[in-house]
Amino acid sequence: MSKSISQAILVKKRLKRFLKSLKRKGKIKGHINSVQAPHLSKNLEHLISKSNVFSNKDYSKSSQNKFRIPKIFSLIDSPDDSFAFLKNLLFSLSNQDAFEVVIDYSNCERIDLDASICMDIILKDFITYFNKRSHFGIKNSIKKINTTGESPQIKNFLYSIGAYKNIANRQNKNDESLICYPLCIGYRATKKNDNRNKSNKERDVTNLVDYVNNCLKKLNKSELTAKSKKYIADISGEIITNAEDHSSTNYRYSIGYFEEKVDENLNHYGVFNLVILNFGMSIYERLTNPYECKNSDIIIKMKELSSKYTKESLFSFNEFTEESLWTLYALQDGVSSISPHRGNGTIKFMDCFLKLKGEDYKNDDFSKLSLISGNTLITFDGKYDFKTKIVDGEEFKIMAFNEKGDLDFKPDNNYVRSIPNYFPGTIIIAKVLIKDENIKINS
Amino acid sequence: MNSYKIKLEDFRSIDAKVFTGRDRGLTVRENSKIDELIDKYDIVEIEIPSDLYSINPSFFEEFLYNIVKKLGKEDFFKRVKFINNGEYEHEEDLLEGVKRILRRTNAL
Repeated sequence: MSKSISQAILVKKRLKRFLKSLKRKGKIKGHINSVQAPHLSKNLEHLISKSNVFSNKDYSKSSQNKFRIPKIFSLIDSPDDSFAFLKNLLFSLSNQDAFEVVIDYSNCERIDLDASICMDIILKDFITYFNKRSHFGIKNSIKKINTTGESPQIKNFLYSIGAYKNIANRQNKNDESLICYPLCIGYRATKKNDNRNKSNKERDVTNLVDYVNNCLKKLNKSELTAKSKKYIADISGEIITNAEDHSSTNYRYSIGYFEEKVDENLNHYGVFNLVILNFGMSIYERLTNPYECKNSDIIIKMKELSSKYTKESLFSFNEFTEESLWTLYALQDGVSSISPHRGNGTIKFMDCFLKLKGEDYKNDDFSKLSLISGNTLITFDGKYDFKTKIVDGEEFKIMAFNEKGDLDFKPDNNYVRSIPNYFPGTIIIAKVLIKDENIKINS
Repeated sequence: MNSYKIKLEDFRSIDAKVFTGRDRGLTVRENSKIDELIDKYDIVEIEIPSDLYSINPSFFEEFLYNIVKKLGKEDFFKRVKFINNGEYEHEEDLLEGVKRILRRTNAL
């Protein structure tokens, strides 16, 4: 049995022992199983159940209970340090190794939203768990979670869109240099007649479009065109829907912020950062799970493709694996693990994203889409075009990440590859450049 | 010819200017009773709110799934009319939704 699974079981055993002690003292009537005792969130249960979560390095207990944020805290640009940090923080909180946990920002020069929000979700869920335990009368070993060493720039980020805002709801009202799309948490309703969550998704998408539009107004630019509003709504709507539908923990998260930039010609433009994620099974894990993947036709076809790649020795460990291949294929037009007539969300997202960048997207150094699921990283920056494939007389949009535009050929390793760090779910990280051509001209 | 008008405004989520997701499409399909209306009326008109940003193809796909399957593409467009006075242009998303419904296979 892995360390992580045994750890999850240990947490439950301790709780059960505590409940039995309460029962002996007469503080619980009835069976202990009927008691609504505090338990870890589905997210946390899933995370601590995987020994290789975030990083292949073993959990390293911090002797001083200080967790140093990496110099660049980014899952894309500093993955090894950032993933290792998340793992150490996760298991330290799970084990309750210390009286106080200190998050040290003194070495940090840059925080990216992707790493930041993962940390915030972990912290938020653990704080909720510890508070429930306290309320229930169960003592926690961890009494405090503090921060130290923040530079003014980092502090500004934390107050605007980072941990201070997302966890403690503390905001710095004076500094408006970052314009934010606040954290939106969606939960997939499990009861058929529960429509609250379905409404939240549409509100979240509307708020996102409004935020981009408001940011442009604040930058003294005119509004987005109706077409651009539609594209942004389409992008976020499809991906948020996917994140929710495919989350095995039932939660999805979206967050973003907008920052003004100036180029060498003193042209102003905006860069919208957006992260959408869920924790749970990765795309590949869903496809290979017979209980999760209902579309058996897809599995047959993917296995045929895997055989082809194996025969031609196109797989290589730690560079391009079956998981990389299947994850890429799962993004294509018409492919879904849920049913045969679904499967258009991610490819539509990429298509809309490409159009939003504008006519000269190939020269755009800012806009990039990254998807991490399990041990696979896919990067999209407009270098490769979509190709149209005709299958049985019907057209499909294909993104093969190679010159041939053909999925039978290996994709460019710079764009589709296996990575050593494991993301327990799927995260999409987008940077969208809003240029003047997207703006409505005032008459 | 008898006709019936469905106002999507009646099914809009509070504070939302989009219709998105298959689950919402299914909800609106059931609540609007469009599958029954198409049997009772020659023409069904669907009015789109004028301040809408987008109706996602996935929403159209689920909302119109049964009637597109029943009528086919040609008859569907003869009998289902959209009223849209806003800036949002629904035609591309609608066509994409109809195309997905009629799709028989996938990219692989």
